[in-house]
Amino acid sequence: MAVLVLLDSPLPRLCSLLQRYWGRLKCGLLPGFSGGPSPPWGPALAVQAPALLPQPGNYTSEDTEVPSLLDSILWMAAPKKRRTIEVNRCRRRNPNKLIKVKRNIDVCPECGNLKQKHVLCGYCYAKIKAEMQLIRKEIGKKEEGPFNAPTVETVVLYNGEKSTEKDEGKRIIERARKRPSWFVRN
Amino acid sequence: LSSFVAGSAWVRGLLGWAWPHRWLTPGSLFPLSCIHTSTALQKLGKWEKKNWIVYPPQLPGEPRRPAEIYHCRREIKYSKDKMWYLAKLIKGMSIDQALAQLEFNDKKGAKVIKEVLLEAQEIAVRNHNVEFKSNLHIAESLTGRGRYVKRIRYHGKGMFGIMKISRCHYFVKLVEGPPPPPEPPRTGFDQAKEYVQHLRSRTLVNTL
Repeated sequence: MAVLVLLDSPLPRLCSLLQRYWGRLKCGLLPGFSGGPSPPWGPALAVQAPALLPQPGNYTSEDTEVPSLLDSILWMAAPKKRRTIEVNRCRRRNPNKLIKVKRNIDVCPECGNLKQKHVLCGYCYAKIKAEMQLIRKEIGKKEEGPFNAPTVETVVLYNGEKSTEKDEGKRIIERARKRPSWFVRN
Repeated sequence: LSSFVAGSAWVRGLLGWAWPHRWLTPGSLFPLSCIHTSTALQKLGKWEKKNWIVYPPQLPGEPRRPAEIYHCRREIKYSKDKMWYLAKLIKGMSIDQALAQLEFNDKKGAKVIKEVLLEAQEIAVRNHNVEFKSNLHIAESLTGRGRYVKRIRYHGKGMFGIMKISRCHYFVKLVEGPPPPPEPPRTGFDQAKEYVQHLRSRTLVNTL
């Protein structure tokens, strides 16, 4: 029994020694090399980067760390040089920034004011708007309060006009002036 | 009442300065009877004085000198850079075309410039012997910097910024007659021709 024990104990020690030497050989270290604790091997970077390489132990802590303002300032966009007045003028006076000349201005055939082709004449529109405001005031006087709109049509009569048979049953609004030329009577 | 008293005191002060002896009198435009004239109260700028120049009478054979009308408005509450775009738009146009363009422009300065142009047209017909009010074109239109005022702009967290409230002047010169034809844009060929001309006109210095 004692002989067996003596035989067993040196084997694991020999095995571990052999494993260590095998590991060192795999790294490329010769058994005669006395480097001691060598620095961590990694691929040598040809790019200039902050000298700190993440250690295998510290890797997890840096992931959760929020980059502080001092770090992010290094990567924010900022002008390198003052823009000269010549460069500024080129940008401000570029034809795409100048106001374009409008070619869609015509003369209104009714009043003679200027109008854009696709827009109603401003003067005529204002004139009609004013007249409509007065008609609405008359309607308001007749209705005397909100929610009193009748369920029949409305007819506007001007000075010297009488209601005809066609206007039977319709609400009549009187306006004390001559009929304007643009408000045609049906 | 108090303004009238102040006005009369001011008129007495003017008389004390010997008003008729000024070397550049505006003629009959400022009679002593009218007290409340805004142009005489402020210091007159150079543009306003350009209207006072009187040319000697023209000789019979000379072509007629077209009438020139200088008008301006001072201390408009608008930025001079933004106003410049409108001034550039109407440069060289006839007055009718300019008024049409400004009427349908949405900028704040367009309304102001339109008023200035109408005033200038009125002055041209009344004082400068212009026959047809449409026969004017805009020879020059410029903007200038007015008096700026600094104010505090309040931000959050007790921070503040200093903002400047900018004002501008607008100057216009109307000339009688149809607008001049627009000059053709400078092509690369023209630039090359000019360069070659410049090279040919060089002379050798300090030689035989």
